[in-house]
Amino acid sequence: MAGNKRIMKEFADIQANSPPGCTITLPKEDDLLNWEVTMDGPSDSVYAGGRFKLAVALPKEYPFKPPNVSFKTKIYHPNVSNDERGSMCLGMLRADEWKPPNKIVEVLKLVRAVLAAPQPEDAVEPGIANEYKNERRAFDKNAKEWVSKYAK
Amino acid sequence: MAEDDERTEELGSLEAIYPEFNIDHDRFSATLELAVTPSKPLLVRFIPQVTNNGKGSSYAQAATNGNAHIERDVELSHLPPLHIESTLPDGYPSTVAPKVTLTTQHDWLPKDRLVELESQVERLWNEYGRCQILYVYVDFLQQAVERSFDLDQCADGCLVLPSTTEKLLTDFDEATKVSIFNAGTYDCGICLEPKKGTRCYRMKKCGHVFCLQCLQDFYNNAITEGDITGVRCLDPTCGKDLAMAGDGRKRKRESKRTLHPRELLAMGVEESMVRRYVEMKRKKKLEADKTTIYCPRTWCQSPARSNKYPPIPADLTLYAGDDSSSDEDHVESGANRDGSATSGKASKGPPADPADRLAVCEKCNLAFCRVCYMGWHGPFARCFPRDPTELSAEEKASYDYIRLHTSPCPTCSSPTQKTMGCNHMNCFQCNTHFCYLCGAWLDGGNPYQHFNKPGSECYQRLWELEEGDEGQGPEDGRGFAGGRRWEQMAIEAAREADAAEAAQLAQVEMVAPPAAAAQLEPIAVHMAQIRLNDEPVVEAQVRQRPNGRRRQNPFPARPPAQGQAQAVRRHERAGAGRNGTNQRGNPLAQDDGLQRFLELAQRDEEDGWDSDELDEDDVRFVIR
Repeated sequence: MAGNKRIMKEFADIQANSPPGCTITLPKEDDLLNWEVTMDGPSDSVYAGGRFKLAVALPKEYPFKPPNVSFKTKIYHPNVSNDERGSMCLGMLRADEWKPPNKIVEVLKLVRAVLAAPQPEDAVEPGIANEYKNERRAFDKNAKEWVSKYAK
Repeated sequence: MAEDDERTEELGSLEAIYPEFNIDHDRFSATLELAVTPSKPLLVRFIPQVTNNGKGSSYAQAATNGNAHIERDVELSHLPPLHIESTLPDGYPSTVAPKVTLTTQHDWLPKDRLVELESQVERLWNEYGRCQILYVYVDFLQQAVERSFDLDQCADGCLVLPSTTEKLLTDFDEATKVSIFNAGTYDCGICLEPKKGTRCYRMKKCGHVFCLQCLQDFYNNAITEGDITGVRCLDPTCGKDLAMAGDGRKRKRESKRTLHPRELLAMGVEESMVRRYVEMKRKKKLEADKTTIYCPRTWCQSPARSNKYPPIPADLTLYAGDDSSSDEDHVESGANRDGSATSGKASKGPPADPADRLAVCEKCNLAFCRVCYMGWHGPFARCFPRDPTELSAEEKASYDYIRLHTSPCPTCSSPTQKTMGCNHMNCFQCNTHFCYLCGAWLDGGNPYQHFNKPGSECYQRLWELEEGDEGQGPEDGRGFAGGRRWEQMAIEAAREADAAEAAQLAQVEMVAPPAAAAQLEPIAVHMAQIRLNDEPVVEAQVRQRPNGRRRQNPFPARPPAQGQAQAVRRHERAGAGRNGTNQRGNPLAQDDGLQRFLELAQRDEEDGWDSDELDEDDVRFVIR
C-alpha cells in the first residue's frame, strides 16, 4: 500500500509549510501513525489565547481510512466530545465522507475552521450546541473559562 | 535548374517544420499527415445506410429515405488525419500551380469538402503572387482543422455519416485519447507521487485521474470489506455539486454514484473482485426492495426472477445496473414503503392480473405462486395469501420426508438423497464432496480416507445403506440421520425442555390464580377460565408479562421468545398448517380479542395498540 511513503511525504510537507497556528511533531520518532499537534486558538474566536494539544492517529489503512482527531486539552465546544477522549467527528473525518486524496493539512485546517465557527447542527455535545445556539453569551463565558483553566 | 532548386528548397524547409513530412525527391512530391484535432469536439451524427455514398448526404435526405432512422450523435475530439499529397510540377512556382490531393481514412470528410479544399491551393498561389505556397497552404489547412472544416456550419449543424463508420471513428478517437493520456504524467492524489499515464486511470464520468496501484488497493479493500458505497470516484470534490440540491437527499445522491464494473475491470481490478462487487450491489437492491419475493423452499429461499433486477451477465462489462436510474427507483420504493405502512400489507395482495402470480425462483427454478406460495397452480386457480413460513399438510409431509431421508450438503444445504451406492456423495448443486452418514466434508482427492480411518465414526461404513437410505441401518441406532441428526437431537431436547416448562408454569398457575381476571366482571372471568382450560401455557405467559399494554395485544400469536422451547414451539406451529390442525390459534385469538375488548370497555379506554408492535411474520395475524 501507498501508506508509509505517503505519510512521510505529508509529514515533510506539513513541516515545511504548516497551517497557521499549528506545530506538528511526532511524539515517537519511529511511529509515523501518531502525530501530535499544538494548535493556537483562532484569534477572532472565544478560544483566542488558548493553546490546544491534539492527537492525530492514522489508521494503518491510511489514507483509505480517515485519521482520528482528538483534543488532548479539554475544550468547551459543541463538536468535541466532553470526555477524556476529546474526540471529533465531522465533515471529511467521517468514514463515509473521507476520500483518500484528503490530507492531514486539510484536516487541521478544518479543525481550526470549526474552532472559529462551531457547527451546532453536527454536534457531539447537544447541550453545548444548544447553549451555543440559544445563549451565546453563556457559551462564550464558559468557553473562555475553560480556555484559561485548561489551555494556558 | 533554378526552379528545381526552388522546389527542393521549399520541400526542405517544410521538412524542417514538419518532421513527418515525407519527400519523394525525384518527383518533387511529398506527403503529410495532418492530425485532426479541432479546437472543440466535432458533433457527428451516425445514421444507418446512407444510400448515396456519403456524397451530399444529409440528415434530411436520409430521414426521408424511409429508413428506420435510429441515429446516434457522438462528439469526437480526434478524427483520422488529413492525408495531403502534393506535387510540384515543372514550372512551379512561377507559372504552374502545385497539385494537391487530399484524402482521409474511412472517407470521413465529405468529397465535396475535399475538392473545395484542394481548389484553395490555386487560389492562394494566385493571391500570394505565384510564389512558394506550400507552407501557406498547410497553414491554411491547419486553421481549417481548428474550425473542424466548418462542418458544423451546415444545415444539420453536424457532420452526418453512415453508421458503418461509427465504430472506426469512435475507436480512433478513443485510441488517440488513450495515447495522449499515456504520454502524460499525473500526480496521484492518493500516493502523492507523479506517475506515467500508462500507470494511471482517468474516471469515465468525471475525468479525475489516479494511479492504478492506489485505485486497485482502495477498491479491493472496499469490496473486501463490503463497503459498496465506497466504490466511487475518490476525488474529494467529486459528486459534491449534485449534493447541493437538498439536505435530506444529500447523502443518498452522493453515495449513489458508484462505479460501473466496466471501469473497475479497466483499472485492473480482479474479475472475481468485480463480480463480488456486482453481486453485493444487486443483493443490496433486492433486499431493500420490499416487493421482492423469495423462494418458499426452505433450503433455497433465493429471490424470484425479476425484470427489475436482471441476473448478472457472464460478461461484467454488459452489466446494466445504471446508477442514475436506480436513484429514482430508490426514491420511488421509499414512497411505496410509506404508503404501505398505513395500508398494512397492501402490496402483498393478489396482483390485478392473476397470471402475474407466477414467480420462478432464480436459483432452483421452482415455479410458485407469489400469493399462496404453493407450487404453481396455473393462472385460474383461486388462492389466498399465505405466509411462506407456514407449511401445508402436503408440504409438511414433504418437509418431514426430506428431514428423515436426505442429508444436506454441508456447503449449500441442498437436501441430497441417496438411492444407492456408497456414502461418498458429490453435491449436485455445488460439487462438494461429503459423507452421507455424518455430513463431514471429504477431500475430493481422496474421499475414502474418511471411511478407512480407524476410530472415525464412519470407519468401515462406506457401503452402509448401499440399497439407499430407506434400507436397513445397523441395530445400534447409528443408522442414517445425516447432518439432520443434530437438528433432530436439538428438537428432541427442546421438546423436553418445553414440556418441563409447561409443567412448571401449570404449577405456578394452580398456586396463584390470576389476579387481573378476578377483578373483572363475571362474564370476563368466565372467559378467562375457558381460556385457562384451553391453553394454560400461553395464558400464563401472557399474564406474566410485565408490560401491561403489550399483553393486551389481541393477537398474541408469538409469545416472547424464551429459549429453545419457544423456537421449537414456533417451528411446530409453522408446521401445523391450515387444515384444521390449527385449533390452537384462532379460537384463542378470538377469545383474547373479546377479552381485551371487555377489559377496555370496563375501563372505558380506547385501543392503544399500535400496529407497529406487531411482528412482520406473525403467523396467526397473516392467516386471518
